Amino acid sequence: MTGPVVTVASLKGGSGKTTLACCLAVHWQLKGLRPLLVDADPQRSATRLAEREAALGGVALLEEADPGVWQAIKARRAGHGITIVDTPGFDSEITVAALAVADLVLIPVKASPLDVDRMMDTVKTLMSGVKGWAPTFRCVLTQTTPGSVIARHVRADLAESGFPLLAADMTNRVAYAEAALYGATPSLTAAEGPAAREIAAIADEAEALLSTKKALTA
Amino acid sequence: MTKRLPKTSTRTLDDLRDAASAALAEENRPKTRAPENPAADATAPTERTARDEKPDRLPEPVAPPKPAPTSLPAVAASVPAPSGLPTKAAFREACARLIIERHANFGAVAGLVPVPVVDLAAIAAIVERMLRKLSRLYGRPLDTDRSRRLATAMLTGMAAPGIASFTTNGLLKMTPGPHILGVALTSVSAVVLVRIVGEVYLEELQGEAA
Repeated sequence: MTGPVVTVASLKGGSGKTTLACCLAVHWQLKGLRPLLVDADPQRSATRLAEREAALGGVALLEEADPGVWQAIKARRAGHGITIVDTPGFDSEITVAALAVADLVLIPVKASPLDVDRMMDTVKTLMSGVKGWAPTFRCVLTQTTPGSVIARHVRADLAESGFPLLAADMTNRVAYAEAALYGATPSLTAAEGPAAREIAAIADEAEALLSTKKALTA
Repeated sequence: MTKRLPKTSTRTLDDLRDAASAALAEENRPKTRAPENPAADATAPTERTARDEKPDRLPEPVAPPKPAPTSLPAVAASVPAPSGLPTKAAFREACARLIIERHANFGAVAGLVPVPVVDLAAIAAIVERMLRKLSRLYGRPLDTDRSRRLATAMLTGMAAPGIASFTTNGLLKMTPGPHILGVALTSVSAVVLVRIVGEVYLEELQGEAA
């Protein structure tokens, strides 16, 4: 069984790439998909999280912050139901390599103009970095304040400009940082909590996209 | 909305797409040597606009599909100059022709397989894949089972005039000496076969669409 590759990429630091990647990996681990989490970020954030007590619920982790990461992914993804790649938060060959093997690219973007600008640079890299071949991508609004005007405004603007967005947001919650103290994610610490439900919603959308894509290319 | 906020960004996804395709075209330009390549470059933005404009154009009556051109140069002719947007039918036909060309080229490679039965199986698989792609383009997805039967039917139907050439080639391949002769023959006949099957099926699809 060789599953699809989901790359979480954004050229903006602090947009929530590692949090999103780890949360998705743990969610899919709890669902029994046997995910592989690839830490391609030289900051080693995901690896450091996995070194803590809860070890991300035992998710298989591959640390490979190297432009050859795509080969490592190809070699190791067999036997895993899905592969999630966390990328560096700056423009690098590693990011391009991780984008090139992706079946789906998730771009976390905060509801602020600076983040939106950088998200567009990410999309540009996505389109030009891999020689005109653009994998499926979706933006995910992260760290939003629920019900805020700016969140709704940015969502409406992005939709109007044609950028595909996931319906589910990843809202700003202390649960993520609290869970990270244990090396866990909200899905492990509070499985019924609102943060875990948000992650589940994002994961469901990603799964739906991947299965649609698989059906179209079969 | 309680507050009036200015736009977050003036760039749209289409701007980024255009920039990326322009950069790609720029990159490809020095390398182009065949006359067909600039045409291919020129069609890329046109196709893109056609797709993007589609929602706006829907209320307008769609132009009737053109009669299927049979000769190869018609590919270029069926794509209008960048000034006028191609009709949906013309765009689809150009796409279909690209699919057929691509699979005919696959057929050339499959024909090179120097084992008598295996190369026929490979060609059948290519034809099947081509039929599925064409059907999807025309909004009639085929399931695998049906496409396989259709491919077999079309191949055997088509192969009737060409059957002699196939069997002699099979014999040529089994004899150890004149290998090269058999290889070249099947490669060429595979291209023709795949292309004819594609053309016939495309005509059928266009007839249904009209």
